[in-house]
Amino acid sequence: MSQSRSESRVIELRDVVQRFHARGTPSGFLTAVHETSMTLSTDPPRIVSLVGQSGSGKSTIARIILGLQKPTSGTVTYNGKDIFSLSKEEYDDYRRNVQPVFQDPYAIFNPVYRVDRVLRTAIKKFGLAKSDSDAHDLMVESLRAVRLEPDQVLGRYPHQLSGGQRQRIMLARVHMLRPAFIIADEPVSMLDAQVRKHFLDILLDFQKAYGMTTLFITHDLSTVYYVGGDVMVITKGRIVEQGPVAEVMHNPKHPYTKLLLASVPQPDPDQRWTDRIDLEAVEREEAGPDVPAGEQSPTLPV
Amino acid sequence: MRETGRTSSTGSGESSPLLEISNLCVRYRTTHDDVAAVDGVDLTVRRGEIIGIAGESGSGKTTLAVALLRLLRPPGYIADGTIMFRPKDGQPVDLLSLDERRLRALRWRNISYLPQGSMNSLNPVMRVADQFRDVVLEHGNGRGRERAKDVDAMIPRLLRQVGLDAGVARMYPHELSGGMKQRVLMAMSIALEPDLVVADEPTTALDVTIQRVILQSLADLRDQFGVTLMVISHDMGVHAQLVDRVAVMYEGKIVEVGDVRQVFKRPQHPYTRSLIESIPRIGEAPWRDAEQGSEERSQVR
Amino acid sequence: MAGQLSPVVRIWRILGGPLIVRIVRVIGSNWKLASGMALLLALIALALLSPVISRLVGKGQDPVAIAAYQKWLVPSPEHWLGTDQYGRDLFAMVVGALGVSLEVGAIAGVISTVVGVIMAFVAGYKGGLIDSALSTFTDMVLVVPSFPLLIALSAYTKNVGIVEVGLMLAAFSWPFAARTIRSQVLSLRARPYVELAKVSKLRDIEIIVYELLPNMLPYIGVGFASSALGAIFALVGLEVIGLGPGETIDLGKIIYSSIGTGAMTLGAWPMFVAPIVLLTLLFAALNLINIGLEEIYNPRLRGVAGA
Repeated sequence: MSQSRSESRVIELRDVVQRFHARGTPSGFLTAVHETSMTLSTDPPRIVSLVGQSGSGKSTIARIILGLQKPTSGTVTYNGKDIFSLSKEEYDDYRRNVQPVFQDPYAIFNPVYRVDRVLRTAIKKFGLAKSDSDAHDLMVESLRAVRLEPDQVLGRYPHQLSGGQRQRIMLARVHMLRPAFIIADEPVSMLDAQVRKHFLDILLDFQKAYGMTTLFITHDLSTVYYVGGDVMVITKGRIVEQGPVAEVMHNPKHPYTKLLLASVPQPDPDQRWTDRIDLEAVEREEAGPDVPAGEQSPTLPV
Repeated sequence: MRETGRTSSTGSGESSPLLEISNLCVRYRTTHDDVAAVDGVDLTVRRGEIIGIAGESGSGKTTLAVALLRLLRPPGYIADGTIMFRPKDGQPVDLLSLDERRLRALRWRNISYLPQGSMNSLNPVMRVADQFRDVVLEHGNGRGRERAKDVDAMIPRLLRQVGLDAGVARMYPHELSGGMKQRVLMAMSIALEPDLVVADEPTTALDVTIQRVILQSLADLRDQFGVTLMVISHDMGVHAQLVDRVAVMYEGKIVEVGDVRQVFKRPQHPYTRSLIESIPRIGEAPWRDAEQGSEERSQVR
Repeated sequence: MAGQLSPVVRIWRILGGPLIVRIVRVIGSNWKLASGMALLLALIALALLSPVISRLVGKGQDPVAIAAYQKWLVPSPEHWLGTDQYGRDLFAMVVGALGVSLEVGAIAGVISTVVGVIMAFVAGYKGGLIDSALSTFTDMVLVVPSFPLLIALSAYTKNVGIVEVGLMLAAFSWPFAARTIRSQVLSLRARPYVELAKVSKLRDIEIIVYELLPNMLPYIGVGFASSALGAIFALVGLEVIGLGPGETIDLGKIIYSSIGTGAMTLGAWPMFVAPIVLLTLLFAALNLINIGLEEIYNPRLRGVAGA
């Protein structure tokens, strides 16, 4: 089942605003995303990073693009059509071509079922195979593509696998579906360093081999640099700077970007910070005390 | 265990180590067998140094801290080992054999703890100043009971120490951001001038911009108060920027310990090597190598 | 892929196998749950054996017919618990009454749980206006004082059967189940695996049945045990003060009888004690089940990790 990439696909956000009801705020609501517009295209396939801190609105944007959250105003279109009013065929196409990778490998599986189910459901719902044996072959092929041994993984329950294995099963699912767009929301934040690098390498492979465009959402600037491509810097619901990674990270223009870059602790003891950071500038930028659910910074379980 | 690199003197006159962990074994009871979370750990902590405990999830680093502070709860239990602690104003003691009463005397006064996600351990119905008073009056015995007034004089000074405005004392925790709460706790942890402060993942779950402030404040704690710091973190950047020595943990054991520069530049143990190698650095990336290296790029299908 | 099977078969195929295995494993892992279930099953078995016991005791005649034997006989090898004021064998009566009490509990429990679950899932999953409407309705029923109403209703329903009694009791206990389950649904529906199901084109009903329901079973179990318990004791409460709908004799009616006739002073203490012992055992069983279920699903209550 090959996907033709001769036609390019486009996701476009136009002046999207997202407000949530919030008791205790003066206006009665919290604006997670202010008039935001962006275009994601598969021509050429690329990695676009959306980097921001907790409460910046980046996860909200991901959920809006995935159709899980309806924006307060503004439009989200897939190939020109509003994703909240698609015909059945258009909806099937949209769902087939816009797929997520979520952050928490522990919560992404329903603990009641074996991990196979996630793959089988995708096969069944998207009609990827005509028989049980074809389905099995497809699963084995995709698991191997993400460097997982099928017999170490198939038939197991989620709690029997590590976080890295679980996250790679999600990638195997993406591999099976070959969507045009991968919306990856903090996909490596809860993974160990070595597994993280491995995972990012696989994402880069997918871009080259299958022409997928990935929206890579993260708070970690170092991983943004690693994957390359383009980057958008978001804070408090507004995108303040965007451009190619090398350009933005070596020549930041917006004060927030500069602050971000100055705060990343470089893993080199010979390059310690020699100056003291401006506390006031930091406190101005910090997320306020009430941050909507889903926007919290990720923590690594110990 | 041979240490990596030469040891650096930290200027304190004391020659005896502050903390000596010997053969610490912590296990968790499960429905099958017992699992070793900390498997025979030896570690010496010198007075006035900042020592980092590095490792991934499951390495046992948080369990090490929790066991050290005797805060371990079932199904975890301490199977073996001793931890000699030499406070500046008292007899050396084995932390693992103390009873609850004497442990309480040590907590906050000689050893402070900043647990993971500690900004959530502030009492939500008490103002910051009240919580300070609570801690100081409760644990400050032995030096003649500090009076409430003395504490009140201490609070603004401590808050300024961590870069907070004195007005924060009148606020409730929900009015403060995560970074501010973390700094309030840091101020509380040094209120009684302890010998040792154990900080578990002090920067995790905080914005990266505020992380730098926290790291700066932690360094100040040592530079200005002479406090010995044990910093536990999976983030190697934190260790690179803050600590004097770092101990790398893997599967319950310390696989390497030494001067932080040596461990980063010339890691001896294979695990440490692969850990250091897999840290992404700004300036290094596969696409850069491809750009600068070969002319060929893979074709997009 | 495969030909269309009936929904029941499909649900069984997907849920049945893994679910049964999981349920058995889960029960075995906790002594409180296991012993609670064992006790409950023993009581149910005893009640089911009632006709057999009647036959053995009666030796041909009906042991609970009025004036079957002499009245107020003390416990003896022929009448293990003696007889009551009408000369009925107490042992056979009590076992029969146990069955009635269990039936009432089961009927009320099942009805209120089913109603509560449906309300909770629809309200919790759909959210918005539907949720507001259903929750308001639930709260209104909750606020109605059930005991006085039941007392009033009893006056008009002296001659109804067990099923109607069960219905009456269920009418007041379903909101409790509905509220607990709704809050669980609210918390579960934001889980990433539910969102993954949505982007995999699963329909709402499929998500409710396949994703949410299996994770809700312990809560539904607790809800059922609680409402069954509540119903049984509401009924006993009504009967002990002389009210109580229905004609059939259950444990509460026997207790009432024993108080009314002063059985204790007559030396016929088993008439008072036996039903109370059985009710206590039932109470203990259902509570052990509740506590066991809670321990399983709240790991902090456990002393041991794993499983």
